[in-house]
Amino acid sequence: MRWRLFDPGPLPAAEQMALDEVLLLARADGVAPSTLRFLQFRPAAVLVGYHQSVAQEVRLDYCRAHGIDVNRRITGGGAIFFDPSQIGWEIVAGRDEAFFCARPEVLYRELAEGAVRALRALGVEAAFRPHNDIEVRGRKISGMGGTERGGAFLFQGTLLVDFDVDTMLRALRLPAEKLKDKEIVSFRERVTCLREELGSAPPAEEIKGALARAFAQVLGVELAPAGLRAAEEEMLAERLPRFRAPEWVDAVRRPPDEQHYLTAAHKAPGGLIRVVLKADARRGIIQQAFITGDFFAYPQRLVYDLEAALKNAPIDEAALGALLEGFFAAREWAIPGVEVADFHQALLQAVRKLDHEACGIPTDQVNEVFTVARPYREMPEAGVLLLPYCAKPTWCEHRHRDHCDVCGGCTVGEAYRMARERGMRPITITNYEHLESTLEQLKAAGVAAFVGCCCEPFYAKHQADFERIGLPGVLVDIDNVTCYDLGEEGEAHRGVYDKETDLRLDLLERVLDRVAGPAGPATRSAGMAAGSQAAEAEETPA
Amino acid sequence: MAWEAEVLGWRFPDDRLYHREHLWVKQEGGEAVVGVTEYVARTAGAVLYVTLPPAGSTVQAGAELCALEAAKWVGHFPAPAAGSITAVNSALAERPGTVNADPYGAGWLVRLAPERPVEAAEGLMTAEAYQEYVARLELEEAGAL
Repeated sequence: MRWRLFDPGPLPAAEQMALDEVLLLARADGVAPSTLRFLQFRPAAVLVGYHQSVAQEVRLDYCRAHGIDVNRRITGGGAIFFDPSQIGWEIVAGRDEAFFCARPEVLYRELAEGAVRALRALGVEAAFRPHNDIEVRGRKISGMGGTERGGAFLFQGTLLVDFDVDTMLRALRLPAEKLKDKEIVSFRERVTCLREELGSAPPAEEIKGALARAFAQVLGVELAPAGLRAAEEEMLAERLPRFRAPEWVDAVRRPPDEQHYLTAAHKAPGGLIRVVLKADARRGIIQQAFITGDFFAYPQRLVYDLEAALKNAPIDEAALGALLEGFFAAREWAIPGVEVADFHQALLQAVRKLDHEACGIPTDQVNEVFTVARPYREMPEAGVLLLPYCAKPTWCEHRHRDHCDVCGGCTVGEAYRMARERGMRPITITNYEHLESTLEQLKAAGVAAFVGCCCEPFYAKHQADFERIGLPGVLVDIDNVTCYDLGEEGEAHRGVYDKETDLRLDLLERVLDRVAGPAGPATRSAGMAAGSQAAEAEETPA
Repeated sequence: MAWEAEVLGWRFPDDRLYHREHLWVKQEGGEAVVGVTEYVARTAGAVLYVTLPPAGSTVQAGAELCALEAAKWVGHFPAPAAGSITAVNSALAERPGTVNADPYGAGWLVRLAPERPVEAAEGLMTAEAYQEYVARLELEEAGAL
């Protein structure tokens, strides 16, 4: 059988997206042949999936400033960044073709085989990864998606040739914006490209040739280069304005606040597990998961596979537990000192932060509140506010004492004032031992809960200690946690330990408004015993 | 349900009619309820998005009625009968997985006021005929035909 090989060359996104629809409808109408075609984009383009919202997926300001096209695909799946080096491939054919199968798990594997063979011919050990990716040793090199109209279908994939990951991270709204620098490196490791695998990027014509030969073989067809037919040219002229119009690009609108980035860090004996989730609260699913840590995992790809398994998983404690059990039961793996339950804990900690918003914490700050022993919603009245000495200025004579003159010279004084206004007792914590003994004393004295301020690394490190002592509490982050603000990478790096950190007074006030209660006599003696005059200790909430 | 046709454990209740694009249509009073069959619910993958027409709009038989996305595939479904849309299952926006979980009940897609009773609409099959149709598709898929 003869198919058309169509290569229109680099085009803007609207033209390419319109061509997709034209080729599909023309094939469905019987006025065009089955086609293998290539897609290249100039200028670079961000393409959202058919059902996605641009506001949720794309950094529009960045794309506009850098001349990146934004458009919508007619196929499903997630947003992708197409720089001019990338090559897309696409099959448009009849649903009555012998190889067509209505079951995606079969169809994707069958059609991916063309791209897999092409990659192998180029010297890359590629393999299909269910459900819809092609990978090289666990690292994604190609993603796929499709659609259908009438009696025809369209199936397409990307091929990363020389991939500009940094621009992708800036152009798309990815969980990466919540990542620390070393995690960005880890994020990059999840994706590979031909240049990285082969040492240099082969010329586009060589890649297209390999794809054409492999697909012809897999599909059992002969390919003959040809352009659009007259009927298709007419359809394209008629449809192009629609694909250029904002009504198409913004055809799906969803408020950005339906989407949440939830982070959590869980300390297992074998290491710290950090989880970043992109969650769709409205539909109750995890859209994307990113898991890093300092644990040692065998096989190396275990975590990448787990992330793929968590895609579109329901935000439900039991369902996530069952998913993890099933995932780990189905393969050989080993992570010294880390159990399945540790991953469950890390995920639960992240998804429970969705609840913070319902309790009055702004969407973009839900990750800056940590809880001990109880969910935030169920936190009892807290009569004590524990404040870290490191937020007092180095010149303050009370820096290492449980005292404050409320002189107005730092955020701690303001926190003292806020606590006293609410009848709470503020305590300056001067070192880690002081914190432990204070919590023990408060608990023994029958205090119901505490509010405190500390940074996330401190909380993650001592999470198990907090839980062991068991006094329910809410902790408010102090630094703006190392934040990767895409586009201003260098300046935005603010997570470096600073001896004069600032408390997050706005967030602290919100928390106090919800949980503050009168100090009561039980708090009076707490915090006095250990080290209230202690010299600066090595380990202090900071 | 008095009787159910079954292929590979998929149920096709006989209190409704079926379209070759794997939709069911059930006459309820003057209205017709439309949904996808268990064949779609079990083979397409987890449904992540559902696009439904606005209530009050009219559709022609065979014209696009709705789109479902599962496994990065956008499936477009034709209207099994002509009529005006009287209601859509807006709960699917938040819980699209209901289509997989309960395709014949809570996973319904639209209600429409058909131009004529669906029994008379062309191109619709009984449960028994649809069962045979699906069995044939399955055999073709398995390479037996």
